Amino acid sequence: MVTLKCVPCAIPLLLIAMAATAQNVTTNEQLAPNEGGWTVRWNDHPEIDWSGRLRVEIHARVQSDGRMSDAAVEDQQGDTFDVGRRRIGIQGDLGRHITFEVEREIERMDPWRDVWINYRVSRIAQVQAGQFKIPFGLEETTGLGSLTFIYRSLVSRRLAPGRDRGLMLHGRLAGRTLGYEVGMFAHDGDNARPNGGVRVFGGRTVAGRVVAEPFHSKAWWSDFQMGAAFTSSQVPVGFPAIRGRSLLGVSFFDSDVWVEGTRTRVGLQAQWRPGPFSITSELIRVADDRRGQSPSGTDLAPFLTRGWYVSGAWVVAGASRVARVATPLRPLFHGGFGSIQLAGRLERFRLGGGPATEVPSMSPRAGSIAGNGEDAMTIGLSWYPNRWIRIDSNLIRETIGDASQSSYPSLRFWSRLVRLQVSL
Amino acid sequence: MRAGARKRISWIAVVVGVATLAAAHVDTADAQTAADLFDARVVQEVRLFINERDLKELRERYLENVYFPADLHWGGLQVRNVGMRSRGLASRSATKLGLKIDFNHFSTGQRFLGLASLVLDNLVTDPSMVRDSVAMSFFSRLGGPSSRQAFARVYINGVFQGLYAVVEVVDGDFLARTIGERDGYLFERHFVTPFLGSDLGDDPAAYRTVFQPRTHELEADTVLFTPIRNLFREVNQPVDSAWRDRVEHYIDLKQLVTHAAIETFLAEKDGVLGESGMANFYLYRSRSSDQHRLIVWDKDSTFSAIDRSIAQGVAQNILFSRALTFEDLRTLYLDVLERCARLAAADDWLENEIARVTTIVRVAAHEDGTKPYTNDAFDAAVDFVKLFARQRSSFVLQEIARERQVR
Repeated sequence: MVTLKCVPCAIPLLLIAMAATAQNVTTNEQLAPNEGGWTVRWNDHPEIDWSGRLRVEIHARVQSDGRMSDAAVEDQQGDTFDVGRRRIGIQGDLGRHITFEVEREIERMDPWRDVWINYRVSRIAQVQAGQFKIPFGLEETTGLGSLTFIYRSLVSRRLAPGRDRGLMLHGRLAGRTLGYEVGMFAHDGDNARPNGGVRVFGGRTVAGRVVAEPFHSKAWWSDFQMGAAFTSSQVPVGFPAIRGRSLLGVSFFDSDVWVEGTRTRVGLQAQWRPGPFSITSELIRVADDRRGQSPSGTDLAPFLTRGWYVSGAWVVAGASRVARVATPLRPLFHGGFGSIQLAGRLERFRLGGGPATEVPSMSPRAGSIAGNGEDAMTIGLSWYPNRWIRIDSNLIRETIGDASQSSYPSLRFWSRLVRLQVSL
Repeated sequence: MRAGARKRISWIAVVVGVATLAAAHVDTADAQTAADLFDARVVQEVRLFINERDLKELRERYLENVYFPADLHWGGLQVRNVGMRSRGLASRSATKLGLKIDFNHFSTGQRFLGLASLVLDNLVTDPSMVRDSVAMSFFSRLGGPSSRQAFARVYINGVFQGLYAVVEVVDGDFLARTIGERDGYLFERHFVTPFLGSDLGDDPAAYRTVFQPRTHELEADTVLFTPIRNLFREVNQPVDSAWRDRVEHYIDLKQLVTHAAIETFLAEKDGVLGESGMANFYLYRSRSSDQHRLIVWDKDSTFSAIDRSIAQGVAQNILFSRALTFEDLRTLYLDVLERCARLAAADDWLENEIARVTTIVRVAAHEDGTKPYTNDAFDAAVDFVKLFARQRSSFVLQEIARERQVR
């Protein structure tokens, strides 16, 4: 099956032209000061400054995907896919203590993405309020433009909570060795919410994460970080909205399982980016209580969804470090060809299971749930002609079917994806 | 012996003792069979556990075939995660739920005592509560394959729901037990509108509204229903010398006549010759043949009237009326009726069978507070069934004699 989504050609072409022009602009070059202290300039982005007190960057991103898969893929209009996206937003700061961001999608049902304001009391204590990503999941809280692969891993897409409205205290301690984020949110994120229907998701959510960079002062290990995160929320009685969907949306487990009680997420993350290499791994586990959900009204073992991924990347050419691959040393048409990165990812995602003493069943009130799962392998090649343009191609091998369960048929298929992304 | 060693030996003794008891319990459980479940000499006890939320929804949606998970306990055995749904046509009730239990609905391959499913008949359409059981015994006595059944007190979440019949489902297991094969095509007469044997046209799928496949459900309509379409196409052709051969290619006419005769003796008003068209039977076709045969089902409308004519329902049924134009089949019909009458009367077998069954169920039936009739109505209905048993044979024999004289 082939699904091809193209944004209107005019927008990317315009942005490419702008990007090419902007290559010649010196960073921080002042373009048009005005009488009232207003300054308009082009740094990495178009930027407006008012007397050094208010600074507003304008961001825009368009992307177009091509997909070919041996399996039926989710409708391209599905909300879980970054297909044909057009985003526009602003980022900035007001005075010395306040930063803010407003970003929205164009032509989507739920267009607002990040809408937040941050007040920096000091390095160790900042307060952020509004709608933003709940501090859980390394990859999930990495911006779209900085992802290594076209799609985030299954655990990031399905189990990490995503965005919600809330209030968060965060900062860095011990000389930047330890970062912390703790907050209260209205719900448990948009990733856990149903696209439609009556499935349940978490209510008021407490979330927290600590990330340590224990070798902060040692050059070779300076970038190594590891962290742990959790969320806790109450889920009303019903079938959960966290379901088994492959990277491209193939449904393999509907989670028709009664849950009620506390939803607990636990996540572990680690990342190391020595020079042109990087290795990243995450492990996420979500447990939904099933209080009083057995046929006889007793508690059942929690409904578990869990998974992990390990990914690695290598900047083959054009940049000295993985962290700088998006800003090639010699851009295309400026003495070079940009930068190239090769990456690979292995991942596993499982739903269901239960006490080994019970026979797995597809009953929505089974003690041991005959669940399902997916293993995936992704190979990615990314080319960054310049800092604004990125072209990715991913080859994905997905295997659906949990070998320990025999209730569902297994499925194995390849998918090929290409993405053109232009950012300002 | 050191104290530590004595302590270890004591623990080993305890463990061995517990293991022995557990093994004994397992042996007891393993000894139970489907025959024990269908032992009609006692009232069984079936306990179901279903989440209260599901039970509420099941009662609200009792007219739908929605499955809910439940645990079933019987005879010291427990089977978990069974699928349970409301069942029945006229007998559907939110108060006294008629239930179908599918052991493998949620758990692939799960069986209970070798059974894939069970029916818990709520007995609400028969004030005597014994008609179906006695009629099935009568069919069985005459050699026809019939479902095993027993009576049971049914509890849901510990609350007594009333007296039910535990009925063996007509499925592959039933076919294997009764006729020695399980891979043929089985259809349940699906009552949407009356059907008297008319030709529904060329499209085999038209018969899906009359007969619902219970095996090979995923096969194409042309495979499933073409022999049935051909049967009723041939039935509606002019009755000539070739009619018999053509129709008999698709249905065992002697078995059909025998089946109908037994129903007629039992004064079945909702069977093959029923007042609302053909009802309450299964059609079975072997994989290696186009010929169908009938399997009896749901006889709670038998014993309807002592003086119900043996010709009742014959004329309006196209298939049966045409079959009886053949002298040998008409003779067979009368012969089977006569055999039924003599069998029922011999040593008051039928009356004694009714008395035996009612003795078993009387206490539980009286305690059944969800049945839609009073205990007096139950007693009166039982009395009528006994009266039927005493008088039906002589009435039928008189009608047979008159019918033979006419010929």
